[in-house]
Amino acid sequence: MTEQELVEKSKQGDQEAFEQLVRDNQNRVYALTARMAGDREEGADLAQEAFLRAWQGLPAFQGGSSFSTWIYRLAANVCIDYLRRRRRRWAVESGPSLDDSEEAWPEPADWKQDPQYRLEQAELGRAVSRGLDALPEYQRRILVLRELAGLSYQEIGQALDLDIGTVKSRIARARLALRKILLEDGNFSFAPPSKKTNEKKKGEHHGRL
Amino acid sequence: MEGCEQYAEWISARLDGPLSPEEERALNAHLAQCPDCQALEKDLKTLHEAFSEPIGPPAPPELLPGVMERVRQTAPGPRRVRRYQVRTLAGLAACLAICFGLYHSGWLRVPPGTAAPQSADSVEGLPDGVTTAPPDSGPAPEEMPESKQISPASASNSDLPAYIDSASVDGTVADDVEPPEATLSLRAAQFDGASLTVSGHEVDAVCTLSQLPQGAEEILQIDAALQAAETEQVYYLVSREQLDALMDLAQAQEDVEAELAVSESETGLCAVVLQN
Repeated sequence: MTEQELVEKSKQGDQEAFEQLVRDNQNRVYALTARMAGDREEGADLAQEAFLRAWQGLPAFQGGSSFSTWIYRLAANVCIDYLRRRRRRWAVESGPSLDDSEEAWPEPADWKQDPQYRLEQAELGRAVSRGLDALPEYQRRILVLRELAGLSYQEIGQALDLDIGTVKSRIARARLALRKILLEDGNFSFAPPSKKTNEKKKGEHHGRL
Repeated sequence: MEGCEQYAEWISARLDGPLSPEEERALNAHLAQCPDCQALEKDLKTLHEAFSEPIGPPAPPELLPGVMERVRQTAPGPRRVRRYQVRTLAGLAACLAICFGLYHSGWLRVPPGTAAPQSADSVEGLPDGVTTAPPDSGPAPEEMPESKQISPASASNSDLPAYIDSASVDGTVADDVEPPEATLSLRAAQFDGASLTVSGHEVDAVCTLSQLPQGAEEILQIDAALQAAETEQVYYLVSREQLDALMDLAQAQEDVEAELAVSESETGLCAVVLQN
């Protein structure tokens, strides 16, 4: 059954069809919510909330985009709401100075302990996944919003209260930082022009990113 | 790569959308003579494409059953928004009948609050005053792609802890799946999948009345009436207590018809909208 058929059936209340939609999208939605939250359990709760909102929002879903695209955006919005609430609470507890996204959230749990996590990744996906986890929180989040949730620069700017120029430069820096991590990680090769160039880049990136 | 920051930013931005013609030209000219930036572009492209691979960690096995359990408790459509029509409600017998009916339709088995743990949680631990910022919505990019007006077709049957579903003249309660046919429309209220707004005010509940019940002037300031910009309906912003009191009055008066929509937010603000 195509995604569109599943959506049509789900709209009419077919729970089995919806279950299939959840099954097809749960990994990516969870990868998104868990990374945004920086916590596995919270990530699972947020993913559940996103799917529930999808179920409830289905009558309004016109099919202008694919269901996948729609659910990723829903999930991103659920996460953004969550982070706002958390930031508000954090700000209340710690005083008003911590309003910058770079410091307002704690570092995430360590995914790498999970054996399942190690097994189920394609090599490239796994390397990127590891790299993402090694990024500072603010860079990971902005990259997840762009690459996993598919939000535009403008939408990311609204979500994180940043102007578009800042979004653009932060995404670029996050990508450079991710690349640097992967280059340093011996398991992954970009097939750079030469090892020498590679070493040189590392040195230059150091301290700037 | 000294001095290449600007080009690095353009290389990144070009993965997400077109550059301006000037930027495009400048970047291409630079790339033609900078091997480092060529390598960078290649790497960033690889990275960008890698995101279409499965990116872990995979969903935990309990996620799917968890979602489906909640789905089974919720008909598709906006959560906890339903309409009802009050004709009359007389005496204790009717009240008892309603309580009985509520129990059997499942509402009284779920205490209010447990149905929306995320809202309750978000408010927890905040001092007074902070709760005025709605936890689940806000100005936010809370854009469901299509926000929609509430109409009879979109009202759903889901749990509604604090209010009565439907009551008819003889005091029997519709322990039904289909809500009774509504005669009023909530045109002034907007529901976007998570929050209800009336003329830009986010509210917990909207009650639409065919007219103000007698005695309403003792509950709200009649001259505090506002007018919704688009539908030109008159509305009042009230507290939950005021709304409850008005609902009580409306229930007691046969010539007043009422329809209620409740969202899961907890702003403390409610609206009463008059049918025009």
